[in-house]
Amino acid sequence: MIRRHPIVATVVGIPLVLTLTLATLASLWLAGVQIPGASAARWFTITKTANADYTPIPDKPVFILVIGNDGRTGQTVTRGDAIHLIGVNPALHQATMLDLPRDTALPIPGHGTDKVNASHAFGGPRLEADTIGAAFGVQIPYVVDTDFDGFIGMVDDMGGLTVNVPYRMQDSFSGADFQPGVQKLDGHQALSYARNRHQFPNSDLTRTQNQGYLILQALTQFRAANTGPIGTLDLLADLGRHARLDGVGLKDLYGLGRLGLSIDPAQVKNVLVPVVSGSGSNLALGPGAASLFQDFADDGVLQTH
Amino acid sequence: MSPSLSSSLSRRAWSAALLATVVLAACSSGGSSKATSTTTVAPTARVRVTPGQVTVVSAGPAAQLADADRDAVFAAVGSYVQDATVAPLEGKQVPDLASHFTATAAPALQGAERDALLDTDLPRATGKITPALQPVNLHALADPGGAIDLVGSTLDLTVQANAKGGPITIHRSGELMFTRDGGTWKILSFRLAVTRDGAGLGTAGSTSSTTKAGS
Repeated sequence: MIRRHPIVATVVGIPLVLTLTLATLASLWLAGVQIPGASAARWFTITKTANADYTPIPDKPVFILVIGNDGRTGQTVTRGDAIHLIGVNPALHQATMLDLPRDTALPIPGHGTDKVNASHAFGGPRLEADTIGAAFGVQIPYVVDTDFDGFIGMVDDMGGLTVNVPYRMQDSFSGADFQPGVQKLDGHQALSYARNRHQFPNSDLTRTQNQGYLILQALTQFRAANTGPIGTLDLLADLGRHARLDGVGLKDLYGLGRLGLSIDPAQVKNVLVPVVSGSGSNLALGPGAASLFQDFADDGVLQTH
Repeated sequence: MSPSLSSSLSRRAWSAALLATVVLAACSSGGSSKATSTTTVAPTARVRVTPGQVTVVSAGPAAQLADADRDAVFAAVGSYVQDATVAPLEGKQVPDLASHFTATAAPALQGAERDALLDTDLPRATGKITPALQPVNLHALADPGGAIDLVGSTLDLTVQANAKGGPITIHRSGELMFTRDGGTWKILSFRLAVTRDGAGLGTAGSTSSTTKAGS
């Protein structure tokens, strides 16, 4: 039996803040060139989907999909398990993060209906973005996709991630072993925090929410550094050494990064998409999902949820 | 996170100070002394840009900011400050400030951040205008191929002037991010704070205000 390892949403905080901004440097990888002296460790891939042309128009929201896949060394087919769609409204400086359980069954273009995480195996982050974009009613121009090692390396390079563990967390499957309280997690610990689900009665739902929490903590941490435009260039340089950019340019990432840093985490709603039991181990979108997506799609902000 | 900086300090930065294209000679004066009894000559001033450190961080091999780009960005800083702060005090028609910004950044001139970007709503100076710009440091990002399309600059400007109601002091500081746009360097984003102080700002004694803008 294969244990799933949704990576974390941390990637999300990074997308909003660093990833988006910093991934700039990954241009080297884009060109297929190994950066001299750069670490071989890759944190994630940032993909600009077809026809995506992000322009920071005040009234135009931007949607970013953050995926934590279950890939490990030597694995070629991976599932996109940790799924978080972020909508950012530049004018309102507000954002929404919708967390979607991996077992949710959705129509996957060209592949019938299946668990949403399978779309990653079928067609990588682009197909997963197409699948989720169609279900949510939005166009997703950017996808940030990370795996186990990438997540660990990213958190470690950040100097760890400070979280407030609300209760005793102990789970042998994920390796989570935390006392309640504020503490700084290294990469491995953060991964175990993000993977922990066996401890919870509702399993993946709580885990998915915890991942969202990690993402917001990452955003909080980045904002606390109060990085200005010039400092953002340093972040981009660092990120670029650890990312693969697929169709994304430095100026894109700079703009997205500055946008991400302009969002107060307190202005980010973290909402779990409502799901119900479906056939077999599948979940199905639950009552309220359609209106949630409608509320979200117009401006990236939830007014009625 | 400890960014790995492959910084290169431009030794030529100092020599750049000598370049007429970059350094605008200070020539502030209250020219009214030469005015005739029937003509008032408005005070004028030029902002002098003193190049500071130039560093480059790169996603790939070490890179350097080309002299022409370095000088162009220094000039862009000086030109923006001249048009946004000094020209209004001179009572001149303010140039099209949007030309200093990219199309995506220019809307900020009409929004809530306008007050931090320019000084068009201040009283006209009646006496000497003295702009003092601290040395401008540049920090650039090179892409893996060595191309540089993003250059950040520091900004620390103090302008002193006398208006009808008394002295005015404007202090504007922060960072500007420049990018190539149509063959020139334009402001892509900014983080600025401006403080205005002095009796000349209002008719009822000294007033002071501080505005921050940008992210």
